Amino acid sequence: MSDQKPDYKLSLEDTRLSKRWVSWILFVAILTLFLIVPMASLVSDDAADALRGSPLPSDNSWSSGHLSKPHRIPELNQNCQVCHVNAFEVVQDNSCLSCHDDTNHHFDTSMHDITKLDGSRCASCHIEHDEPSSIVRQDDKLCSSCHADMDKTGAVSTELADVDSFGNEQRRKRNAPHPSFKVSMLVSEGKADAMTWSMRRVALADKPLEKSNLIFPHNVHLDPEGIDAPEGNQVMQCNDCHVTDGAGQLMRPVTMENNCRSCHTLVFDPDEPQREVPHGDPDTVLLTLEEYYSRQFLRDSLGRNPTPQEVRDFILRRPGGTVARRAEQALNLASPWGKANSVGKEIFEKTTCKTCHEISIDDSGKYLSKWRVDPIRITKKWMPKSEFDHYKHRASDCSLCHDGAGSEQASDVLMPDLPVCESCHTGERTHENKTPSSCVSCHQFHSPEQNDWRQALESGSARKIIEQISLDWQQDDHHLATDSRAVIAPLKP
Amino acid sequence: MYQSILNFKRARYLWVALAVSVISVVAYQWHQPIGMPNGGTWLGYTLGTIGAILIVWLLLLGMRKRSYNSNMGTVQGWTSAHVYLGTALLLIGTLHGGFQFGMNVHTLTYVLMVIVILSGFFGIFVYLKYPNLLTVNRSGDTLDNLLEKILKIDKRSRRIAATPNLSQLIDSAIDGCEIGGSWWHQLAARGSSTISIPFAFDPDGQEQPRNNKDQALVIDVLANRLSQLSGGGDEAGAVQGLIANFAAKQTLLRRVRRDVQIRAILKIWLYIHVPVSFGLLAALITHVIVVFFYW
Repeated sequence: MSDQKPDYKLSLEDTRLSKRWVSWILFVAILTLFLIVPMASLVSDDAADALRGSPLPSDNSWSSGHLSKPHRIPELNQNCQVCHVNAFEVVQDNSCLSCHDDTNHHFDTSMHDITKLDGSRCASCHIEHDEPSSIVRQDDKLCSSCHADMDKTGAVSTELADVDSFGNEQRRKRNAPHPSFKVSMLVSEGKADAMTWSMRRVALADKPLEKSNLIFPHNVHLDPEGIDAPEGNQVMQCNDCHVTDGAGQLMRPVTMENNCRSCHTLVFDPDEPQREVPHGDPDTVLLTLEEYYSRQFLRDSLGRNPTPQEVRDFILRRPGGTVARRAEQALNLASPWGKANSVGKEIFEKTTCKTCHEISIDDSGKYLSKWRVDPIRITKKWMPKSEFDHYKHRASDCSLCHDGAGSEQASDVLMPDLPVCESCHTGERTHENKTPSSCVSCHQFHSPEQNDWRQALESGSARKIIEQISLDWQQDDHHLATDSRAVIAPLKP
Repeated sequence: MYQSILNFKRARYLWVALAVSVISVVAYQWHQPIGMPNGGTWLGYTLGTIGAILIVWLLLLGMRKRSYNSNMGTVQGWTSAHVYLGTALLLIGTLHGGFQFGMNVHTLTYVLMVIVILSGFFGIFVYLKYPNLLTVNRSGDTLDNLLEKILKIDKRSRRIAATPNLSQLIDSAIDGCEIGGSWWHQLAARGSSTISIPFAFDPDGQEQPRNNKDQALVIDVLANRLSQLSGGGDEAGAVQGLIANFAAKQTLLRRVRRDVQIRAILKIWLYIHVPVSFGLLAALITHVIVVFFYW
């Protein structure tokens, strides 16, 4: 019993709660658990594995986000040091190129000195540990930051137009809308065997004409009334001849064997519809005709089918015998030879061959056949600077983009121009009811046409080469050519 | 003139914090980084640097308020800036991370920062609301005065407890009376008061300590005793006086406990705010080191 004031605990300071101790404990615990303990991952691979397998935080707790999905493979995922090789150093390109060694550069580094890309690393564009993951850039700025004004990029010279946007809406707002399409077209010069081919970039707006030497009217084949086929009347579809390649992007080449021959037979004697001349070399065609009519001639002369040896002897006209005998033979020969020539003239100049081919005459005697077929080369990829996936567009009718039914000549270029694409697609930022499409929807940054990235890095940029030449010039009294391309070309590794 | 920390110098730091926030939001909206917004873009680094400097500066308030000789602005000014810039930090830190969260030390840092700031918000709330309640509750008295009054009442009660049984009851009630106690009891305004009732007043009881919360049981027992003493007499007078005493004590105890409770509420958030701040500092150091370690 006491009348003294009892020792009440009337404030939090009197309790066991402590700010100081808890502060120290939290500070030390967090520093230990998340900085010092994970450092053990750096000691050795075994230590790292042991730590990553334990409930303790490893260096994985330092990851700022998941790897992008394609990188979540056992070799990379959770193995920080595969890419982060040196401490306090940004991830170097070598880390990326150790797997992606077939990556192409964006431009010809020996020709252009694009200063804007100086110091760029793979990781400058390919951002890892970002969520939602976007390891491949899709934004238009990837392209427009340079292509909006090519003069500022440092390109030695370029015919590329400035582009800063795509789509109708942007066209009205921006300074440099996407230009009309150009095609890369094979163009022939000369005739027959002296023919040379070159690739030319032509604007579709200039209404280019293809010169493939093929004679082919699309409109006849796509007649909605149908055409005469061996099985009767048939209405042809585009994909009777045009089918996509394995990747579904480009079209497989159309060939005589696969696509034409079922209708366009190479029969030359209506009495023997099963006999055809071979498709190919004109000399072989003529030889086939000669052999055929010689055989016919022998059969008529002998009253029986000649043996193969007799046919060979007849054609080869073995030396020997009397002059009178040889003269008689020559007279006899005139008949099958003449027949072969007249049929040859018929099929080369009027019917079978002439249906599809341009024929020229070479009387020089250089060839067995004076009829020469101008070689056909069809452009395989009209727009090599972009990617188009036919498979993705399979739900659309071919005629939406290609006016086959309206084409009378094989020289017509049936590639669609920009407005056709823009009827469905538009730029990324849009209010239109169209598919928003970024630059990389159609164009690749890492151009398959260019050197691989590592080689380009090692060979250095044009500026470095020019600097070196300039140095040599000063030392050796050589003159620096005014055209940098001419200078650079011999120096290419 | 009284000036709250929120109105310090016409809330000058409110405007500073607002300006920083608006600039951050505008920059965040305008900035179009490669990929998603994150701490690794130039804006991310900028916001991160501002945030880190802010965190360190906000922590320095603890030092400033102990340096009574400091000339670096008033503590009130520092606290005002602490509140407003700490609030802006919530936005800056969030924008720095670009709303990307994960199971990692970076999100841990963010979570600790949020805990510190939210506990700080609670602190502002109680500092605005409770000091006034404290004054009202004390109604001009001091806590010591109230305790003194209780002590006097207790003395008087012991004196007027006429019989040994009454004396035993009253001593037990007074000795078993608890005020404050653990942090939980302080916050709950609940004393763990007990009483042992003599056999004479409760033949069924075992003279074991029983809960005398809010002095209810002792008043109850005294009232029962009074009803048994219907004939009057000395004991009846004593019991009547005791009932009055304990009723008065009950009122005083309520005020004292409320006082303890309010002062506990005014401080309890600091037991989160301060230690977690140091946890945040450790996480921040780790965060900054490791983002450059694995750059």
